[in-house]
Amino acid sequence: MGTIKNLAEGITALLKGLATTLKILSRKPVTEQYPEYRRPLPARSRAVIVLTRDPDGEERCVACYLCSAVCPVSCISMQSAEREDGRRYPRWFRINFARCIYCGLCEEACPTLAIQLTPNFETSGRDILKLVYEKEDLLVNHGGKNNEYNFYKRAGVAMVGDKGTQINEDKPVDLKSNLP
Amino acid sequence: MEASKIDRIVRQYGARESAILAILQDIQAEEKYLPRETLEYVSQKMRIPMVHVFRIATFYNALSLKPRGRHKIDVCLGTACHVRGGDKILDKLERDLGISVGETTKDKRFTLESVHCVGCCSLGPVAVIDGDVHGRLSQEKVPGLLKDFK
Amino acid sequence: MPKLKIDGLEIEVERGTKVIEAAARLGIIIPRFCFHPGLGPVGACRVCAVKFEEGPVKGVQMSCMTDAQDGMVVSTTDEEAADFRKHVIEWLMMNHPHDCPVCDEGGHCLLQDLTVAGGHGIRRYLGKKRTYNDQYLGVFVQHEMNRCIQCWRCRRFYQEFAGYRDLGALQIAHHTYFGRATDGQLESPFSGNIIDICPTGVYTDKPSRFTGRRWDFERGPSLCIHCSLGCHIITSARYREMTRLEARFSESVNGYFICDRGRYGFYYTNHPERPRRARIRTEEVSLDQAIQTAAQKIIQINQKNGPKAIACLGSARSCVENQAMLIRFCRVQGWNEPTYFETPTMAKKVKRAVARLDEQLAVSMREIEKADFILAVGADPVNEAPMLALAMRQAFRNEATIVVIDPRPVFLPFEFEHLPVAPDDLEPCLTALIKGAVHRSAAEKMGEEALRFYDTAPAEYPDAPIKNRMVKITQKLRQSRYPVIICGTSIVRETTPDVAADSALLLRAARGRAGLFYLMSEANTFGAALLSSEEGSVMDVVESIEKGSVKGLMLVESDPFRSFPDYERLKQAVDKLDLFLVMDYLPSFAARLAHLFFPTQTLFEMETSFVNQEGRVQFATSAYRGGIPISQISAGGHPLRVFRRDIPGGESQPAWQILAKLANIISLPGREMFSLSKNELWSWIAKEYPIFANVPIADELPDDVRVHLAQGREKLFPSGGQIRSGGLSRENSTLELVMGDWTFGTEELSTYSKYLQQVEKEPCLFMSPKDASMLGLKDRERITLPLDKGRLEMELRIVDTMAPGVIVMPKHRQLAWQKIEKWPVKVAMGQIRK
Repeated sequence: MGTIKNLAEGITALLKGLATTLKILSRKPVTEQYPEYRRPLPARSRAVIVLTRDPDGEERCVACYLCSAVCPVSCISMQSAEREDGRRYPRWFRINFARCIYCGLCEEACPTLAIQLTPNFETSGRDILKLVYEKEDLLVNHGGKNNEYNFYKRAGVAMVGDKGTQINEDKPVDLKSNLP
Repeated sequence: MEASKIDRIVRQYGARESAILAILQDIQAEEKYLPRETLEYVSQKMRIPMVHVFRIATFYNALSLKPRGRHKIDVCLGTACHVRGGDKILDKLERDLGISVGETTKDKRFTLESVHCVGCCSLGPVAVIDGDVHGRLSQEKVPGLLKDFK
Repeated sequence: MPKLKIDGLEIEVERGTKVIEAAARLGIIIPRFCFHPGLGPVGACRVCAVKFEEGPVKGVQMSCMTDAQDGMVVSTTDEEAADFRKHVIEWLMMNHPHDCPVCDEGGHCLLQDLTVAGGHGIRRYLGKKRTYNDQYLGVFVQHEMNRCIQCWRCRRFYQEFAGYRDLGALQIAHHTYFGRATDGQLESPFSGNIIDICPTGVYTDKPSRFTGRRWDFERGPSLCIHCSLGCHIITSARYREMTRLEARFSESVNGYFICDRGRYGFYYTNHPERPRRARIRTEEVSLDQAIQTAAQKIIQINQKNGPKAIACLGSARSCVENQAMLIRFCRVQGWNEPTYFETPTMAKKVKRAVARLDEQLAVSMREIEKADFILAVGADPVNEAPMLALAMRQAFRNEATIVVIDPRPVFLPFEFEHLPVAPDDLEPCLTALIKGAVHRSAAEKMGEEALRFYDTAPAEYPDAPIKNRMVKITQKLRQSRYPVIICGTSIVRETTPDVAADSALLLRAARGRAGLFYLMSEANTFGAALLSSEEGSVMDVVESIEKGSVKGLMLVESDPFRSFPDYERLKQAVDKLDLFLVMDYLPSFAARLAHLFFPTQTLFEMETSFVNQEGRVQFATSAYRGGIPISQISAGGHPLRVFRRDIPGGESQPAWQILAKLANIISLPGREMFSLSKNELWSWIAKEYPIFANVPIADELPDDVRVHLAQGREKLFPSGGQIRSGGLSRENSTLELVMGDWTFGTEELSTYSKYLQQVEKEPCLFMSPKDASMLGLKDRERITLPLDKGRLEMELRIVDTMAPGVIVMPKHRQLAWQKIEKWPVKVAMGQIRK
């Protein structure tokens, strides 16, 4: 008796399984055919870092070292310098993506909106040194998430434009006059 | 300003550093303002650093580093004159002379400035021209007031 | 002494102490912008408000303006006071620009720290911000007036503390401006300090502009070695490059400040031409290979010509370790002891000075500030040791009388009496002053030698105008309670250091208290004089080379081509050598000529010690590990992408370690082997020189250890009353050439700094109006000065603040003055021509 019952249960189970297979077989598959198909990622997803530019096309980064200071894995390094017109800029800027953990703290620390994380995550390669990005690799030709912001228009130092010409500034004090 | 005139003023105070304010006042009385060359001369003559001379010259409102007119009009904007329309007098003067407060007319006739109380509040609104107080002014009296000054 | 309670902690302080200082002593740092312990209070910023709960003062008051008094109960954390401070910061920030990312002060900015600490985040006032135009303030200081919060620290330091008056305040109230009358280089040699004391970024360091943030620097306590004072500094290095140097507080040496020579002189360590590799002639080799080759050559010469055939020159800019190891090396090899001084006279002067300092007489710079009479003999503080001038100015501000006896046109940033007398007359002038101010009974009490000294001293100075001026000075000296004698060692005669010490002893006997302060030529001159026992000099070594008895010469961080008076003769002597071995970190002329060259480490790359001119043993830690700066390797671009274990250009080693390695190879079997441990070297020093026995070898940095040879009475008046007779006895047909220092352009190490090169002045010759009119020369004329081995051309400056019968010239980098056979130099008057 027991043997027949076991046999019947076995066959039902097989058929049930086969039914599930047949049912799924006719459905549209969920697997995405990466890299033939690339799913659009949300704009705020965090992957490869870029350096953006001002509305007037100048690089935004002023090499203030805040991103390298906040970076928990110390993957950012740079050297600040002075351009001929007095503008502060990074003479070189390097991010080691082999170390980067894409935490986004650098973007949060950046006072000029220069450093931004993009959804582009495809960085793998065979040579680990190719994961070290220099400034030329990082610079893009747009303002990223905020195209309007221009740090130097608000900074209040005369690195770009004359004194007293920036947003919400008075004309310079006339030293050789005693009028109020 | 000629060197001899400055020398005379400096000598009068014995070239003491503490007399610098009095010296600048005397120069201003003669010249109506403090020309840069004069200050440089005073600085060299008295061996006081230029920055120190400038410090005094820019600290006091009574001293001017910009050329002034032959006549100086101070319009009072103190509390009493203000409530009696001192600002309207200033307004009228600005319009008539074609300058704003702190400036000098092109023909160097007038310099217009505002002050905060000259101590004769009962006469308000008041304007002081070359040290003479003209009280109880109104906008209509302004053209007549300016006529006498060349 | 008032006793008060701050935040529940009780403290007793001296009368006159401000509450803010009393709190600092308890470890409570009350916020401050205008208050600076070096400058005192002014009450301009209002941010140090605290609540006085009990006692003579009540309510919220400024802690920097309130003297500590008995019974005060102070709360720094009181809600009302904290709220007050918060609002003060808010209005100070009202006009402050939003530029921290591009400001060099960001990261070590007092205003930034207190803004964050006070919790002020968002600017509520929506009006426009005040702006100012900036000025060009020269090579050292970058000006950005928009950031100013009107604390007045810069002006107070510049005008009141340092005594220079080209930077000051202009305008009034919320328009107050700090700057110069016109653009231009700041005149004060202490201008860099306004960068340190500015609580925000109005003045920032120009040479290190945009080189990095404070948190990225490798920082460490170190010493300044650009003069003999040994001021304390903090180094900052990044990417294998020394980037910046700041003053470090020192209780007894420099206080809170340093001079610009010290602050910007360090660039020799980053010099692009600094030799980083060992060389055999012109071929670069590894350090070990060079040591091997050197050892072979040395053994050859020693076997052929005996152990005395190799001479060694050390230098007074080397640290104690290098100097000591060189001596130890020579002793073990049986060579002649190394030489540290150019001429026998110099060696003697320095050794006499070192022998005469004792615990009671020696004063530190801080003690000079407390003196009420300062007598400087043969010293030109601003040019020789700038920080000394600042210390003297503090004494002047405390109403001290300051007298300088010196032939040179001495300038000091305060009023002083200058007695310009020729070098021969320094001693009579000094002793005449002392004799006038001290009663004979004081000398009698001190014994026979003192009495002889007193009696040989001239009663008065023969030259009438100076004699007349001395009357008043003598009177002042007679009334003084704490006189200090400062004695230079560069232009004075051999006996002057002794005479200065004797005079100080007499003054002490008469006045109860007196001090003695020597100036020396280099950072470790004192150490060299303590360690070396021979009285030889470079002159003797050159003579031996010419005679042929010396075949090999080893220079350890020494460049005699700079300091030896006769360049030609030295060059010929060096050309005759079989072995010319140089160890150095400078791209010096000697290094270029070397047969064998070894790169050594600078002060910033090793742990070292120096002895300053008052015998204070001081320690410096290394700032970084050395090597070629990354910016130089990559020419400003991205650092190279390579993995390597060693540091590029990091072959340099401390000179004493190279010496030890060399010794271990050439030593005969059975002789002692040298260890490479610093502790072992120091225990050797302590064993050989018992006065160093008390110096702790620990890594901590004590600065209160002084080493003095003279202890007690047995050393008094060893000169037995020798006083140069002098007194205008010179013939009138010659002028004596005096070669002095300038703040910028003469000190060896700092002349390699590209920033100091920009501010150094053209060398010129100073002459008194009397001599000039005799020769018919006019001010600012170009003249030719004949010397033993050629002539020099330069501008003539006629100044009335110098001694007649003397011409003064700087040992300037730009001047090839090394055409002198021997000192002193007398120039025939008629030969100076247009």
